[in-house]
Amino acid sequence: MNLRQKLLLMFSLTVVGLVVAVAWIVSVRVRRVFEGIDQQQTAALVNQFQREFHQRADDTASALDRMAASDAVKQIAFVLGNGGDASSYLQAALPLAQEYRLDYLEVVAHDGSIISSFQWTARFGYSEPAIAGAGQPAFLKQEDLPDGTSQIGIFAARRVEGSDPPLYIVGGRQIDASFLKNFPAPAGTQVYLYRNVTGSFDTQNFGAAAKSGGVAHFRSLVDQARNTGKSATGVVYPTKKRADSVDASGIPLKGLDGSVLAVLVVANSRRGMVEVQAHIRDVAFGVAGLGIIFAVLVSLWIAVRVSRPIEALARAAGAVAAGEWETRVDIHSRDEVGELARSFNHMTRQLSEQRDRLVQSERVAAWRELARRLAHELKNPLFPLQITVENMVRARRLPAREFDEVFIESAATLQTEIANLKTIIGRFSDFSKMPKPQAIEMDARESVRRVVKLYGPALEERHIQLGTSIASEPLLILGDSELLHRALSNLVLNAMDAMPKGGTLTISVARAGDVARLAVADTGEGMTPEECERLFTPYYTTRQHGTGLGLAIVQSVIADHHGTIAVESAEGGGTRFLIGLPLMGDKVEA
Amino acid sequence: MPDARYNPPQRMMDKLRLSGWGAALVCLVAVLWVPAARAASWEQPASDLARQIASLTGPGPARLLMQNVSTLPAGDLPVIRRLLEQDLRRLGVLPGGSDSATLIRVTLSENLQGGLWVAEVQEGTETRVTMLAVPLAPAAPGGSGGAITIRRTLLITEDAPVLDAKIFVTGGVQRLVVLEQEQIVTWERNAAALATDAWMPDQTFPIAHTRPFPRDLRGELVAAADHPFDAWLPGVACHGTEAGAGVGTALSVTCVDSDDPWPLAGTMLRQTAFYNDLRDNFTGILAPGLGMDLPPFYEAGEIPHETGASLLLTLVDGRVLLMDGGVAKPVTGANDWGSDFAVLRSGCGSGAQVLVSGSGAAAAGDSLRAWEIAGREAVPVSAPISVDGAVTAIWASTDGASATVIVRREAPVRYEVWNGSALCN
Amino acid sequence: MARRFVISVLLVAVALTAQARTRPHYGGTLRIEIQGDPWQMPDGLARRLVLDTLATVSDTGTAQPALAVRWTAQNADHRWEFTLRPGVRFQDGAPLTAEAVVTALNDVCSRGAAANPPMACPWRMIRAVGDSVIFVSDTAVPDLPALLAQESFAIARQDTSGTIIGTGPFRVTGFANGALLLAANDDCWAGRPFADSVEIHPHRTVRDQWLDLSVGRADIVEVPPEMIRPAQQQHLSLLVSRPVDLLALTIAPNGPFSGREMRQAIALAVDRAALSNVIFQKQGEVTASLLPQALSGYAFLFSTDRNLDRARALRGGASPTGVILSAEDTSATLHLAAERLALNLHEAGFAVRVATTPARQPTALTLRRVHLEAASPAAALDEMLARFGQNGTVTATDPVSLWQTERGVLENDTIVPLLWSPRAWAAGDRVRDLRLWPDGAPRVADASLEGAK
Repeated sequence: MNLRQKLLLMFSLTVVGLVVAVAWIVSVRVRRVFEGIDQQQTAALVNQFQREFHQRADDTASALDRMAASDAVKQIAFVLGNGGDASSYLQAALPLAQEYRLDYLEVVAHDGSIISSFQWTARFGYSEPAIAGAGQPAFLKQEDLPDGTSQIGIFAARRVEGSDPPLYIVGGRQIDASFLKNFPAPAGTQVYLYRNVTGSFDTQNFGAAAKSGGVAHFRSLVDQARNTGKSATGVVYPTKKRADSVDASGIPLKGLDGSVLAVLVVANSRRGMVEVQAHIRDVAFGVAGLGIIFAVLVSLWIAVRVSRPIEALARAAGAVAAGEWETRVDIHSRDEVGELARSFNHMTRQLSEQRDRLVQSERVAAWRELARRLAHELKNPLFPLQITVENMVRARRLPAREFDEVFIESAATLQTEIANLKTIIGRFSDFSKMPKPQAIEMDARESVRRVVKLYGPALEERHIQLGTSIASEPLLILGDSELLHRALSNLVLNAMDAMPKGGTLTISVARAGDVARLAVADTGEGMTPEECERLFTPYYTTRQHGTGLGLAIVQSVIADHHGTIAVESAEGGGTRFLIGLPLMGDKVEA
Repeated sequence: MPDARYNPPQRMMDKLRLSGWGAALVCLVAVLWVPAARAASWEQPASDLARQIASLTGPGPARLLMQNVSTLPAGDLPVIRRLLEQDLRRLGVLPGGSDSATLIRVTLSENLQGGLWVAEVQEGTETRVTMLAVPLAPAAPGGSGGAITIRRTLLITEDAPVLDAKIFVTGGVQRLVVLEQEQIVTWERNAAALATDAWMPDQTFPIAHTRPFPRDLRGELVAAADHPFDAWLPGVACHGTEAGAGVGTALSVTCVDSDDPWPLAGTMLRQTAFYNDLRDNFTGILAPGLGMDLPPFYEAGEIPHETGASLLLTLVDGRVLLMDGGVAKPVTGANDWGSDFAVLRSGCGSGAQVLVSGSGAAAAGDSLRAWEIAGREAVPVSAPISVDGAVTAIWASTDGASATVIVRREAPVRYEVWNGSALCN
Repeated sequence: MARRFVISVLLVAVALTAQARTRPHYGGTLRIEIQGDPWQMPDGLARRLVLDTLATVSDTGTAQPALAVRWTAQNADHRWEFTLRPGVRFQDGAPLTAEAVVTALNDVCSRGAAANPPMACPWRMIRAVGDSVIFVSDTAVPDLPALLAQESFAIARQDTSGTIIGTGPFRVTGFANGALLLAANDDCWAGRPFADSVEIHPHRTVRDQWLDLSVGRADIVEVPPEMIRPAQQQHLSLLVSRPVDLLALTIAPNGPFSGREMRQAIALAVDRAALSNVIFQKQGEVTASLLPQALSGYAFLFSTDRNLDRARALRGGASPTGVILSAEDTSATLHLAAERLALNLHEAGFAVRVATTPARQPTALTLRRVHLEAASPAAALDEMLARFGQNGTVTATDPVSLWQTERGVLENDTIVPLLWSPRAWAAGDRVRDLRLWPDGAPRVADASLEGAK
């Protein structure tokens, strides 16, 4: 990450942070306001429910009062009181319940046995303890039904007027979904009734509401209300969406004995609040987005002012590193960056001057070395020449026959030395005239085989054992076979020179990844690390009569083939040259 | 073969329920069983059951419990218990041991076939059962004289529908001829026998007929001049003749397809009437005839008067007509008459009473009542009496002194043949 | 028991007298409304009107001649020869021959074998010889004439259009406006029926039937036993049969009640008195027997007492779950009885749930209402064994043998007889002479109409 990006990020984060902080504060404030409103609404609903409940209870009690005073039940009481057959009234509750619009109705004899039951006709003869509440206000009661379920209802019990022995009617109306359906709840508010008819929480006790799903999330609320007998509140998340969450209150509804028969669940949707919060969040996101854009623009402006000179300095430093010693930067300010630029320019000027001086001194040293080498190389043949010429001069004085002998011998020597001189000069000439390789597709193994074949007899003569390791598969490279042959020859010759008393020369060629690895190893004296470092320097040699150009030529050839050459040597442990030549990709595979 | 009976119109029935019910009960003389006779009739069943019980228990003490779940009169239970205890003791079983381990529980039960006496012998946890089928009404049909009232006498009771039954006396032999749907059955006894003596089964004659009988089958027995009786059925006429005299005399009956008119009751007009065997009524055509066409009718009878006789008709449409001197006069006051009737010459009152059925009280079935025809008006001259069933036919005897009344009783269905007469008070 | 029987008889008498008018007239159309299907096996009303049996039974259960005029048993009741009534013709004019009878009875047997439970024909072979039909069986069938009087063995054949043809008093003429139309068979061997035609309106609720009766749209309607008292209160003209329908609880001998003690516990837990006194409004006869007391005379030997303590003891600690009690049909009364039984069993510690609809597959407990057609004890027991899918036939007709046979069946406690109930009908004012067959079916052919000429 460059400076400009860092600056951009820093500015953006700062702006976004500020916006988020403001949005959070506003959101929390809004949530608190909504929660307060919800609590007030829930309390109002509960009060309204209780009023409605009492109203329904009064209606039920009133219906039972009217029924108890009606001629129909009085007639039943009269007949039964005069020894009538109760069984003939098995279905008596049916028309009465329909007439008075009751969901539950039982006609009960004085001994508590049911004569007729509207809700469960088959229960005739069984006892109905609710007649103990005869004359009392309406009450909540759990009613078992023939299908095995239980329902909650508002009940009232009455004694039929004038009945002797007493005849009772116990009737009620169901509190269920239809009851709640008529309950005037505002939009966004759901009212559920959980019937506490099973030991553990069961969504089926919500009745029809259980089918809609989501009521299972009221479990903790309901459990708390029915276990403690006190109201419980909390936020319930029916789905993963926050917008579906509700502020729920569980209000226990108790029977005559104080047991919790049902839990009224009032759930206020938090959708409004969540939507306001979402709106605030959206606004915050918008503001944050604008802030980021603003931050980019500002950072760009700042970059122009701050980062551009630094970038110029960086580019200039890179150029200097690449060898452009004359690179300079413009100075546009007088601040720290301008001072830095001035220092940079000063530094590059000094570096350039030092480099010139170094080149100059190195050039002198090279010429000196060359002169020394030339002098040294030329001095060696010149000395025999001088001696020979001096011998010939002295032989002038000898008889002709002897002179001839001397002359012939000396002439031979002169020719030899002169040829030697030519060779020396030719070498220097060759080095200067190294040709560019003519690359063609070739097998690296052929170069090795050619060298082995050429130098095999010579090695034998010198008592040098030859070891070869040639790959079985073709190692195709793009190369100049002549140059490579020359390079390998130089290495073999060097190895032969390194083993004057004989030894072992090992030549190998093999595939190593995507290169052909050639190795020439001898068992000679080896070299010191210092010698190894300078080994490929032109005109450097460890031999008394070397020109120091052989390995330089080798390195040049290898470099021209985009290969690598390395040397491994230890003093007294022999030397090994490792050459890596890039293989031809697909063709190698072929 | 189904049977039918008639009753008066429904609207009158309600009146009878209100006004005549009490009178009917007063006039009803119930059939009374003679205790001694009943005790005798239980001797054999008690003995048989005792033997069966003894075979289960073996000799020894036993507790005997008895209950009656049948329709036997409650008074019969101690009689039967006494007989059973006697028989058990005779077989070595000693009832009365209150602490005996053997418990004999005898239940006097019944089923549709008759009585069923069930004995459960309980010894420890093991219970063995034996049963004995017992005739519910051990008296033979008409054997003991049956039920007798001051106005009616039970002649016989049959399971099968009875169309008519009359007693004919020939050669010192009383012969009860019963006309059934598919056969004629005769019973006989000595003419000097008491009314309570039993009728002995005599002969059975199938009634051959080629065409199906109608569903409301009617048939009448009529005394003939030169042979004991004729039987008239729809499309069939049977003649009963005998070859000798005295008890055991062979009677023969021959039946032939016949469309001849049936003789109407009475000795003065001597009319015969053609019968519509598809509609179970008389066509209205008489032979030799009264000189005028008559509407279809169910029954006709002579009402004698000073100058001759009128013909009383119950029409198919429910009206009652009196044909007198070639003039048809509707009879008033006969709205609750049934279709069948018989004219009885009692000598009381006007000399002739019309015995007509009427619908009785709800639980008692139809009723019988005597009427007289005063001018054009039918006047009841007796209180109605209940017959405990439905009257299916009334046929006057040839001499007009009595009438045969067929009553169907229900559950189980059986047919009672009564001889009804009007006695002067 | 006897008192109720007498009351029933009296009710019949009420009906008879209440309907009595003049001698029966011919003509008119009788309109009958029923809840079920007129052709339903085995006691469909239309079958009664169109078909005849070889014999009929009297009120006392005695076999009476019908299509057969006489019969003789041979080879210790292993071979029976029934002589056909001469001159009888099917409603299409074809003569009733012994071959036709054999064909019809073979059809009955093949159909009955596929019924559920299978209806077994008690003979091995049947053949026609002249005007006689010979029945040969491997076991003695002493009550064959009474068995053949059952409607299941009615003689029927179908014409090419599929119309059922018999020798009965009425013939099928069509189906119009939801009613099965029948016309009088003028050539009926037992006499032409009084009514010219009969309309049977099937699948009518009792409420609708009574409404139609009250407004004169129906002449004969059904009165379920539990409605007899209301019908009396409404002064309907009633005909009440003797007990002919058995309410029984069947217990599957596998599943939760595979143990006999568990089944005994169920049998001891049921409260028959409540069913009879309340649900059936005292119109039923509590029973633990397969035959009504009035028919067998020994039904009291089977105890109807309830013993909850004993039931709980027999149940032990077992509390089978998921037990379903299903009623055999959709009758509300049957469902109510099933609910009552579930309550009874709940008291004994059985958690039983009542199925809301009749089960297609057998359930652990099934409340059945089985109709009894036979009127003689032996034939009735044979019939009941077949109706309950029990193996074996009655080979002796004496009461002790019958009792032993019945006890052998009932001691497995797979059948718990509860209640015998009558069948009842209400007739309109214009209906006369309507009576009932021993099995409670109305003798429509013998009824006539007041307004007919």
